[in-house]
Amino acid sequence: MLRGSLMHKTPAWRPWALLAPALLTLAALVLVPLVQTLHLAFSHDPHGFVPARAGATLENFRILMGDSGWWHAVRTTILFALGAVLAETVLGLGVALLLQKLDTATRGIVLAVMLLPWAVPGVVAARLWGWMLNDQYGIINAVLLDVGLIRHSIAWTAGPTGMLVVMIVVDIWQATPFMTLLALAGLQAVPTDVLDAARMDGATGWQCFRHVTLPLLWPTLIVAALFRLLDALRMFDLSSVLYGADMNGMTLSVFVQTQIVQFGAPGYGAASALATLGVIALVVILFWRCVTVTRRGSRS
Amino acid sequence: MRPGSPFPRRLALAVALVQTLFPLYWALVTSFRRGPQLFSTAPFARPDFGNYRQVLSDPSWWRDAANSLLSASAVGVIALLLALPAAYALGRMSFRGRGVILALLLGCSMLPQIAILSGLFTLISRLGLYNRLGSLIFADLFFALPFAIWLLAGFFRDLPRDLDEAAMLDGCGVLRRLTLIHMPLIWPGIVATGLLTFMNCWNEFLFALTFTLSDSARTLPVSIGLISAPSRFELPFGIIMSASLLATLPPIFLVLLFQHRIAAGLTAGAVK
Repeated sequence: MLRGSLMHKTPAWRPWALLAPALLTLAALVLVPLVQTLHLAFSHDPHGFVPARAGATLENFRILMGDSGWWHAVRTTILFALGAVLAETVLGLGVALLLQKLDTATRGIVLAVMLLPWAVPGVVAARLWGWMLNDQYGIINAVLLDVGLIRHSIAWTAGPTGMLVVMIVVDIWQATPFMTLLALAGLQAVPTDVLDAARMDGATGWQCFRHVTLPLLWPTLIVAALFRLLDALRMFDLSSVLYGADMNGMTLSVFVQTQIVQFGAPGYGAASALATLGVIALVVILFWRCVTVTRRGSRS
Repeated sequence: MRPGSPFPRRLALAVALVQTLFPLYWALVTSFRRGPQLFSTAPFARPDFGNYRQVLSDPSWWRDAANSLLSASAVGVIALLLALPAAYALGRMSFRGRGVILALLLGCSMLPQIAILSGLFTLISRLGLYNRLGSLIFADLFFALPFAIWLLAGFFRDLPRDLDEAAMLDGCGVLRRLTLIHMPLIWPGIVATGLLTFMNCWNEFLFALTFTLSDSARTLPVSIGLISAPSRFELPFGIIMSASLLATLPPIFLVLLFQHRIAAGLTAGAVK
């Protein structure tokens, strides 16, 4: 009611005047390049000394569909994003449950320390792990050899699978703090009286978690996981710094950037960028359907 | 959750902390080592700042650092200046089209950088801004601005409604209400937004790599990403680790100093 009475007094142009500077900047920054990208995607690229032909074409998309490098990048990106987000959600929740038991002062300190990897630039994270996983001088091989878990040094990033797993591991190191933070915020919002009531009724720790805490926490968790998923699907830094332009470890963002900058093919790059948007949309929609169906299932 | 036996809990927490800190610690140990010492797997090293001296005596490192600092601060300030009035309108006023604008902003922040890369690349080359710091600052607003508006709108919205009523009765205009009444109240939120924006830009790699080719406009992540071995027999890992740690100091300091604000900002960004 208060809101209604207040709003009548606001002239209609006022919010738009406040919004205008930001919206105009965004229009120049998003709309113009996006239209330009759309236009480029349906145009021919110049080849060497041959200038680009005029007229709209589907050529870029036709080549893209037959480009095995592209399909490999699609596979790498999807497996990376799903693997990383799943692991980060589970680990983040686990760490949040551990932190919740600490007193406030200790929790603050531990949380600050745990946030450090999240603050590290992606490039630096790739460099640190690349060095630790170095096949000849890396500390990880050295420790495993010392303990006797392996007999020979392992070349961690020699094959596509290894490359994928290494990217997931580095991403877990960097992004789990984010999930921990959000899970902790969600846990603190769970009302204690509900838990107390469940305990009075004789529920065990696991039952309390499974039937009280988790359902209440679920909305927070899936929103956080969705944010992470969107982020992971556009990952660029780790793949680019660890593997350069190596097709075996290339994500979609690296594929597009390489086409535009290294191969000087803005049209092909634009077409692959649009196709990437399609892949991301598809994965996000499927993810959302899965988690909402799971939720309905767990309620019944 | 009943508290389990404390020992497994402590152990799990210790493992989590060690895996968090070890890569950074190992980078520190490596940064003290040169030459054949790099092959050593001993967990300690005597502090030797030779690598740091070498990195810091290189004028191009200082130029990269200045570029990083300049672009990240510029984006932070510009994003706040543009976002504050917009967020005020979205958070404190109700008007036709508000929902559409909020949805568009959310859509913008979901767009990956590569969606606009091709168009922006040709646009920037055509305008002759290629390889200038200005182009990077402009491009970074792509992710910084929607993020800042979204976050600040949430902070504005959480302020009590009575404030507006009282201020209006006193004849306060919109601008005076914004600057004199609301901004001081959401000051912590503004700080968090500015810090997060600064960190995002400081760490940004894709745009910086694409729009700056030569040394003159290069930022720290790009120069660290591009260091490679000068020859097969030389291992630049000591140098790489010291440069990496130096580039990581500002974001690490910000996190340690403003942990509560940053945590609040991150949580607000995702939950609201």
